Amino acid sequence: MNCEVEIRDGAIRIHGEMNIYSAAPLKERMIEALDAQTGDSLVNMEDVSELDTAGVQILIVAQRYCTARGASFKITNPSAVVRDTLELLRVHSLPFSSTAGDPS
Amino acid sequence: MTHDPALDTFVNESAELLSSVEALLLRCESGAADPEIVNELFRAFHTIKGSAGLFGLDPIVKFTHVVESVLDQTRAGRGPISAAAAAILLECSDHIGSLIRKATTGSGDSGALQPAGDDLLERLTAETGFKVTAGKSAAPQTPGAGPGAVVAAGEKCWHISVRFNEGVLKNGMDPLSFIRYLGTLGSIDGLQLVDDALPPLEQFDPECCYVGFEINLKTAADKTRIEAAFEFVRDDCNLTILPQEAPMVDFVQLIRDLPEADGRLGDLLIRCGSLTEKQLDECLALQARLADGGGEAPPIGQLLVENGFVKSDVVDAAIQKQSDARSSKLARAKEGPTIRVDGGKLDQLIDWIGELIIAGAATGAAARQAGLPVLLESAQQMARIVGEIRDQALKLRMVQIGTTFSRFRRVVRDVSRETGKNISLQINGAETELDRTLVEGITDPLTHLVRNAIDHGIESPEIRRERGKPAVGMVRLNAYHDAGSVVIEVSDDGGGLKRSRILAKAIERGIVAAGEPLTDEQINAFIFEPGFSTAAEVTNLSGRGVGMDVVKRNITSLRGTVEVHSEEGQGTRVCIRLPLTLAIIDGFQVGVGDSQFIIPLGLVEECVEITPSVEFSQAAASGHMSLHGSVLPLIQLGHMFEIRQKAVRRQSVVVVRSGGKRLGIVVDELLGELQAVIKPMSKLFSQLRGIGGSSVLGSGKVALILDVPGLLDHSLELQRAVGDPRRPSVNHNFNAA
Repeated sequence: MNCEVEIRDGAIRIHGEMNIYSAAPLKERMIEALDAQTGDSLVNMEDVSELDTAGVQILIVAQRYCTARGASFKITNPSAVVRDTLELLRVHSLPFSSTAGDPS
Repeated sequence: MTHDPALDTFVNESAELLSSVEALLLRCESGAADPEIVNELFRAFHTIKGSAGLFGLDPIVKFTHVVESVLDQTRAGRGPISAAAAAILLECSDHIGSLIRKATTGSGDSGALQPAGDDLLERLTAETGFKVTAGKSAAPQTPGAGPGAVVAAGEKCWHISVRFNEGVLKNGMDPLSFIRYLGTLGSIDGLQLVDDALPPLEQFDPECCYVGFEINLKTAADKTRIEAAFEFVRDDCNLTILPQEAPMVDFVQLIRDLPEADGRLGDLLIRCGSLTEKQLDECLALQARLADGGGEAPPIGQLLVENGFVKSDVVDAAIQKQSDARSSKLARAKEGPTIRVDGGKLDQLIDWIGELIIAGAATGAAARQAGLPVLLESAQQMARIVGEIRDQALKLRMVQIGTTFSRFRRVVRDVSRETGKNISLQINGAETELDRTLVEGITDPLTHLVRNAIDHGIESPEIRRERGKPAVGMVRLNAYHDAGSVVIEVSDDGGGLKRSRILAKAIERGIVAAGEPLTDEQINAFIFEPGFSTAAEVTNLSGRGVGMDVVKRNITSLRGTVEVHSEEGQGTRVCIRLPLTLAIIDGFQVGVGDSQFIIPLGLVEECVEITPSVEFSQAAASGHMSLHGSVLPLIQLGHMFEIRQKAVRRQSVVVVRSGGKRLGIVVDELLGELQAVIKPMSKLFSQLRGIGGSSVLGSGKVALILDVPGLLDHSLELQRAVGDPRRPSVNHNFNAA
C-alpha cells in the first residue's frame, strides 16, 4: 500500500496517500499505533501526499478514540494538502499546529 | 391565499393556546398568585408570536410582542398578575384571536383592528406600569438579511444540505471533490462537516462514507448549476438546495428530513450562517409542534415539490426515512396513545359505516329469502360485527362536554361584570360524552341560556339579600346520560319565571284560550313560542339576538328537546335532552298499512297487542287508553299520516317514553329491531310534524323515523284541542276514526 504508519520519537507519523484505497489497512495501523501510545497522541502529517474523505473520516474517528480514553489527539506539521483539506472542511475538532514548518 | 396545511396547524394551535390563556387569566382574576401561571402565559404568547412570525403575519407579531414583553417583565418582577391586568390581558387574547381570524381567512385588511389593538396595549402598559420598546423588530428577519451577509449584485446565498450514501467512496467518488467544485461556482461562506453518523473506531468501516455537509454558498449560479455539481452522485446522496430567503417552513422541513437531532442540525445551520439564532428558535418551535401532530404531520414536503424547490424523488426518500425514524421516535416519546385526527375523516368513516349497515341489512334480507341456513348464519354473524364496528366508530366521535362547559367560565365572568352581579359557575358532569357534531350545535343555545340565567334569572345583590339568598348567585351546568340520550341542564338560583304573567301574555297573544287548565310545565313552555322572547317585561328572559324560540329550534334540529322547570323565587332549570348521536340509531321497525316506520329503540318501553274492538276504537278516537291502570295517550299512525289500512286482525300499541312522558303509538305490525342509518330530511319536509328523518331499509324501501318528542308534543296539543272548536284542523284526522 502507498501509506505507512510509523512511530518515531514517540509520535505517530503517516506517510503517503490517505484515501479510499489505503483506508482499510490504514485503519488497522492507526489502531495499533494509537494503542501503543500511553498518553496524548501527536500525529505528524508532514509526509501525507493525499487526503480524501475516507482519510478525513479516519482522522476524526481516531481523534474520538483518543478522547474517549481521556487523551488528546493532535496533528502536527500538516502538509499543504492536509492543511487545505482540513481548512476547506473547517474541521475544528482536528487541531493542528502550523508553526512546525511547511514542507512544500 | 393558497391552502397551507402548516397555516391550519398554526390556526388550530393558536386557538388552543388562547383558550388555555383564557383559563389561566380567569384564575389570575380570581386571585390565584402562582408564579407558574405567568410563565405559562408568557410561553403561550411567545409561541403564538413565533409562529405568526414564521408566516409573516406582522400585525399579530407586533401586538403579541408587546403583550409578551409585559408578561416577561411581570415574570422578572416575580409579582402576580393583578385582577385588573388580567382583565385587560383577556381582551388582548380576544384581540389576538380576531387578528388571527382576520389574517388567515384572507379577509385581508387587519388595519381596521389596529386602533382597538393600540388602545388595548396602551391600557395594558398603563395598568402594569411596564414600558415596552415597540421598536424591536417584530417580524423575524428574512434569512437573506442574516448576519454578515454581504451579497453582491446578481449573487445569491444558497443553503445546501447533503448526506452521502455509504457506498459513494467504494464507487470511486470523493465527496470532497464536489465541495471543491462548489468552491469554483462562488464562495463557500459557511460549511459544516456533519460527522454524527461516524461510528467508534472498532465498528468503523473505513471504506464507507458516513459524513454529510451543510453548506452556505454565495454564488451567481442558479439552482440547476448547483445541482449539476452533484450530478455524479445524484443517486448516491440526499441533497437539498434552498435559497436562503426560502420560507421558513422549508428550513423546518429540512430539519425534519435530516437524520440528525433537531437541535444539532439547527446548530449546524446557524454556524453555516444560513439561519439566525432567532429564526432557528422559531423553526424548532414549529417543528416540535408539527411533530406533536404525530401521524397527521402536514406534508410540507408536498409544498416543497409544488414550489419547485426539490425534486419529488428526493422528498419521497426523505419522507420515507423521516416516517421510519419518526414512528420509532414517536413510540418512544409519546407514551400516551393519543393521536389527532381530522374530524372530517371520522365523519366520512361513519358515513361509510352507515352504507355498510344498509348493505348488510340487504344481505340479511336476501339470506332470509334464500332460506339457506349457512348463509343466514353468516349474515347474522356479519350484522353483529357491523354493529360492533358502528359502536366503536361512533365512540371515536364522542368528546367530553367539559371543554364546552369550561368555555362558559368566560361568559359568566363577562356577563356578570356587565350586569354588576356576583356570580359563580358550578360545573358537574364535565366528563359526560356526546357526539362532537352535537357539541358544535349546542354551544350557541347554551351560551344564550347561560347569559339569560345571569342577565335575567339571577337578581341583583341587593334584592338577593332582601330575599335572604346568598349575595353570590349560582349558575350550574350539569350533564349526564339518561336512557340513550344526553341531558344538559342550565340552572340558576334566581327569581324564576313569573307564570301568571307568562299565561296572561299567552292568552293575550291568542296562543291559548283563557280558563284552559294548564300544567306549570305547559305554561313554562310558552317562553319558547316565537315572539315571546322579545317581551322582556313578561318573561324576564329577553333575548340577545337569539330568542328562546331560536334556542328551541336549534335544539330541535339536533333531534333534541328542551323544557323549563321553574319555581318562582327559587330559580329556573332548563333541561336539554339530546340523542347520543346524529348518525345511526338502534331502531324498532313497525308497519302501518304498506308503510314502515322506525322508532328509536331506546325510547320503546313495551309493546302491547290489541284485538280491534268497539271499545278500543272508541278509546283510540278519544286519544287515550287505559294501560296497567293508568291513562296512556294514544296516537294512531295510520290516521295521522292518512295511510290506507287494510282491516287487520290485531293491532299493537308501542309504548314510548321521553322526558318523563309516555305515549302509545298504534301500529299494524311489529317488525323487530334494526340499525337505522339516519338520512336527514330535505328542507322541504322540515315543517312535517312527528318525523325526524328517514332511513333506507335492507329491501331498498324507505322507512320514516318517528320523532317521538315531536309526537308527544303533538299528542299534548291534541288533548288540549279536543273540545276546542278553534282548532278543527288538528282534530281532523281523528274524526275519521
